[in-house]
Amino acid sequence: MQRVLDTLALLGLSGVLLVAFWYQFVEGELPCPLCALQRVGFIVAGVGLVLNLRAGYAPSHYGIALLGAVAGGSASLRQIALHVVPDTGTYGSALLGFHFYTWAFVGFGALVAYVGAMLLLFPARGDVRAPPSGAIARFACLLFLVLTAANAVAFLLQCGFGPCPDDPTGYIW
Amino acid sequence: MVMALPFVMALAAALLAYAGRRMPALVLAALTAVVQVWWLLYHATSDLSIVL
Repeated sequence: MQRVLDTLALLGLSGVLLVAFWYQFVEGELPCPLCALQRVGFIVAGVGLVLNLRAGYAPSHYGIALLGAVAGGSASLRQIALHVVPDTGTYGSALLGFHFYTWAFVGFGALVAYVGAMLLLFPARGDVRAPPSGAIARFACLLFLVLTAANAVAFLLQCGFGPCPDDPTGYIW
Repeated sequence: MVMALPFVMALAAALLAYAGRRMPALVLAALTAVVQVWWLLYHATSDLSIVL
């Protein structure tokens, strides 16, 4: 059961990264620095889930997922705060009435709740248990790895070896 | 400040996690979160482009 839930959560994180890529490459909306930091938060959280699926379950793996969720949530909250005052503009397009930084904050909140629920429902019995296997879990891990690598390449192309501009207009490479 | 750095670190952590290298993956993922917060401080303390 734990493996199924972690696999679904990891697929959900990959879905978030895929939607971000869709808007970046199909809709032409380049990610801002705070958007990038929110993606990093989702990826760090995903590393904890990959550890669960590949190395066995441990509270420390959920701890890393929690760390990523809190760090990413901080970036999304900062971006919400930038635009919360009326007539201060927004960044990017909206989906179902909310901008992506708002959705990201909702996602990070859901991730924190998920980790709390998993630790309550499946308390640790000793240290790391035997790693589970399964084709869908492996697919979820590989998809997440590919999307993480694609993000690293995309931000190298967009920002090079420096900071990203606050309002990006194109790729430097 | 290299924006791609936390992505490269996270990729390395994810690869280590996939390979089952638990402790190196945990350490690298935690360091990635530290760099992420560091970069966030850099961007969160820049001038606001609004007039109140």
